[in-house]
Amino acid sequence: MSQALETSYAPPLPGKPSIARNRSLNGAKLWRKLKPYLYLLPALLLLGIWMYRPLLNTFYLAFHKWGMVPGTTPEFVGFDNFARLMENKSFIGSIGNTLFYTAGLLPFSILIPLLLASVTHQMEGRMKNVYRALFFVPMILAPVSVSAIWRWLFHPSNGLVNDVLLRLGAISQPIAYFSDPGFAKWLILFITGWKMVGFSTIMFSAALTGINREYYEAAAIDGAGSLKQFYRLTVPLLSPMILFMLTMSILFSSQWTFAYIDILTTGGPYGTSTNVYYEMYKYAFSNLNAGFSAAAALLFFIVFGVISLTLNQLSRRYSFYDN
Amino acid sequence: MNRMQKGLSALLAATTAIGLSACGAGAADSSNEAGQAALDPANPTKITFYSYSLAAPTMKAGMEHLIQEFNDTIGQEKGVIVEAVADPTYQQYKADISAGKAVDIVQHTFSTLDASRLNLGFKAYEDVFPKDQLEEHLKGIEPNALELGKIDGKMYGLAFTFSTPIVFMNGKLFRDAGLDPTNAPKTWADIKEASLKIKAATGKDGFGLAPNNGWTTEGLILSNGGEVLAQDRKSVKFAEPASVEAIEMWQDLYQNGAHAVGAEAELAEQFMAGNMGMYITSTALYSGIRKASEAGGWDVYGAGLPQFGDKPSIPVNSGSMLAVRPDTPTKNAAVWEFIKFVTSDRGYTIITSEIGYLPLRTALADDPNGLKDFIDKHPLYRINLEQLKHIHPVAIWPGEYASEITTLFSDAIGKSVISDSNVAETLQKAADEINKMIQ
Amino acid sequence: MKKRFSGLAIAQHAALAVMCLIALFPIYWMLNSSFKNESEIFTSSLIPLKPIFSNYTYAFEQMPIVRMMFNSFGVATLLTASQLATGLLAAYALVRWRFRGQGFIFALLSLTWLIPFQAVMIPNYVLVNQLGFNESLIGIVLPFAVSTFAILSLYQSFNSFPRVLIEAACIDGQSDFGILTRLILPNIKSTVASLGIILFINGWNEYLWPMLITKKMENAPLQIGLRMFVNSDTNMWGSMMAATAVSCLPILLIYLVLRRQIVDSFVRFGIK
Repeated sequence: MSQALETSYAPPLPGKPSIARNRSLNGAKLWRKLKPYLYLLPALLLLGIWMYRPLLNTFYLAFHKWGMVPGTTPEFVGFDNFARLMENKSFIGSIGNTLFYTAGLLPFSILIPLLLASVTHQMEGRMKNVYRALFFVPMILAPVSVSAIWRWLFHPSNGLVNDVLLRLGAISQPIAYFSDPGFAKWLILFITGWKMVGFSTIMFSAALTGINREYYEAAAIDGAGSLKQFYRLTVPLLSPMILFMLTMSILFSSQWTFAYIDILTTGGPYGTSTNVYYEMYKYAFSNLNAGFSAAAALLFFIVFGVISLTLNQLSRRYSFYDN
Repeated sequence: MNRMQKGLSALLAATTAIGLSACGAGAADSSNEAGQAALDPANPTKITFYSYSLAAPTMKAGMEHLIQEFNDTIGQEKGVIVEAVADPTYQQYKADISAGKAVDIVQHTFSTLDASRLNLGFKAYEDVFPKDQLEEHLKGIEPNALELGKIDGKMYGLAFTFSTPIVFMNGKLFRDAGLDPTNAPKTWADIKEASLKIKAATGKDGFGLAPNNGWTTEGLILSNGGEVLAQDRKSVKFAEPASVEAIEMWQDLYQNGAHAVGAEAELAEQFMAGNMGMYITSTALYSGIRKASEAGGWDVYGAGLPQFGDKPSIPVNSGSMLAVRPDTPTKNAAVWEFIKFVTSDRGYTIITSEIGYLPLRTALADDPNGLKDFIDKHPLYRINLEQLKHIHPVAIWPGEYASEITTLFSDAIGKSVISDSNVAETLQKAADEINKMIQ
Repeated sequence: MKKRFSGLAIAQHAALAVMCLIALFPIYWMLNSSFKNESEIFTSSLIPLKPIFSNYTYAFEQMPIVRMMFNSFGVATLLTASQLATGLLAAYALVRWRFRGQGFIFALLSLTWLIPFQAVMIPNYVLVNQLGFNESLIGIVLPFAVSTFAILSLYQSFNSFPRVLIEAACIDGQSDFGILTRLILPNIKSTVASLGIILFINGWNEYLWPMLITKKMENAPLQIGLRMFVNSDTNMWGSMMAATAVSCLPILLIYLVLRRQIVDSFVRFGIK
């Protein structure tokens, strides 16, 4: 993703066209012209079938009503799906939660990792890598496994968390965390964040390694304390990486929370922990309302498209590089 | 490639079948017998049965036994093989229908039956099974239960695994709190009092009713004189004062500190672990609770749904019915054989004694060759059998948006009970939204 | 530099240790619980006092774990292989030649980034079912057989490959495909390998799509099978944790062995 976003809008390579040019035979010429397309064919074909065809199909479905039963034909309903979507309280609520998750994840994907990265960066010797490697462990675990573990830790009557809190006298009654609107979405956020911290830390650490140490030495001679160094030097020098992580976090946080919502709360209690992607899934596979789901998907395809293009422009304009 | 061919031919078969059934539906109305073709034991017909009980640990073994016995006896004799599919979330059958797979019989919950009828091609019994045999078979089944699966006078589901709410009580916790479990609480006020006492004496939660229980809630509303769905099924009425009052009572109960918190599954775990005084749930859990209590060294008592003051309580049913969508005359016959078996005397003996649901052929309870011994040994079931007589059907949401409505209703109840929200307002909002969908 | 033992350093180490504890404790608790017997499971003891192994045997009885693990490896390997293969070919074409429509193709590739899976899931679900590929590994793999993430990442590394070498090979009469397989690939082996690691982990952790496609445990990857087990409302937390531990084990072992490479992969390519 890192390179991906940066290169995705880069113009094609300004290199020279391929060299061999002596053969005059028409067939060979045609062959040479076709060659690049041939190499691209598998990729483009698969993308066509599994990305662009369905996208167009979704666009079509968004204006139709269809119960997904084979043999039945979608019925054209115009903008009805969109109109009903706008009136649907659960959908409106899920937009609010999506914003909550997006904003709430930023400390976990930027702030905490930035601190962890710069603290470990100053360390000498092995410990720095040991810490970073340990932070990273949650990142590689699969969402279902992670959910199962947290569900057990937060189990209302037998979980460790309630047991410890009750013993400490912090609470007087066990809490059913995933059935409590005051906790459910915060826990989903926390678990998603817990998994993210290690990854972002590694990314920031890598970026820090690329920074010339002399900047810091110079700053230290000038008498800048470590806090000052952090926001005078570290933050600006890491700004490309920060913007990159920001883009990623904003674009993907709702996807990352999906599995936890599905396994831990199924969006509840009373829809307080759901997000737009989970609603789309429910509209389609629980309510069998393909048009509704498609309309929501289309809407968010556009919304996220606009956001990411904006962020991409931002990162081109405001990033400066240390070389 | 082979797979692909298979897929394509299945697809073709499906499209032709749908074409056929579309024109066939009209024909079936006029002549019921036309829909049945002979079964051939040498060349058995495969049908699928989607069952949520198969996915529930406490019910799995019994349900497997029921299906196995059919396959080994009548199935073998007549040429029917039932392939069972576990459906833990009531969504598998939908997904598989939309995937174009053969979904022939579904252990279907009540609330979404109408939507399934409209959207998913489920069929009326009268249209696919022989009329005389159907009438003959339904004799002996509790008439109240037969009404539950009817929409517009036609039977789209036959009540199958079925229960009414019961208050399970942990005898040990009752005695620890100085209460007598044989003198069960009758009203909601009694429940509150007992639960607070249990909490105070044992430190364990006195009472549990899961906000997402999905059906007992309706019994609560009805018992207080409220209505969930209007008689004409054209509007919902759960936001009217009597209903609001019932839910407010529950909100108070839930938040008084002696109510167990959590979702249905968690409450069941808690009760089975011996950590809850009273738990209202379906009798379906009885076999599991019985085993847990024996293992944990405590005893189980039971009582019917509590009432509001001196108004008699009105329990609703939980559980399922069998909804069918066979698509060929042979399958009609095959499905019919299975249905006849699982809702026969033998079927209900297994269902009650091994799974825990009620015998809808109520005579079985007093039949020495049937379930008499079993019921005498577990008198708890008498409570539910008693309730069957004044049972009220759980709402079958009208129209095609049943899943959405179910969610709206249960979310509104959850919000009312768990949070300090204004119950009347919360319910009214949901009712308005639902009314917009069904009118 | 005796600063090492200053108060600040100690505070820093303490804070980092706490962070490590938060990161790792849940995993420890999973292992701990998986070895506890029925009565101990509900206590908070930090080690199983009478460790038992029956939770694992129960989990293996309830689920075809070996089969599911095989499925997971199958899916992850197939995905990695096909994404690398299609990615290499496509990236090579984009670097090697200039041709009509190149800009458009770049745009197409970039745009796929913004398409949320939910926007294509219904039509894809319908198509996979029509092809008869549900409940099969092919059905899980096919829609993800190409990854624009892989293409664009490889494009980046190809781009930094010295062009003069390619041109020299060309003059030597190497075929175009030969240049890719004999010249470029051996030189960017490590890049491809680390991309492969990421693709593998992504494939291993894939969630929504396999969940839609596979309904039977025998056909499901480990993750999806575990989800069914978790959802079945059992009170058997010991075996639940045993099953979870088994599902984490392969990837944890790989991490233990290839830690440096894995971390390096993520640094180089980020995540999806």
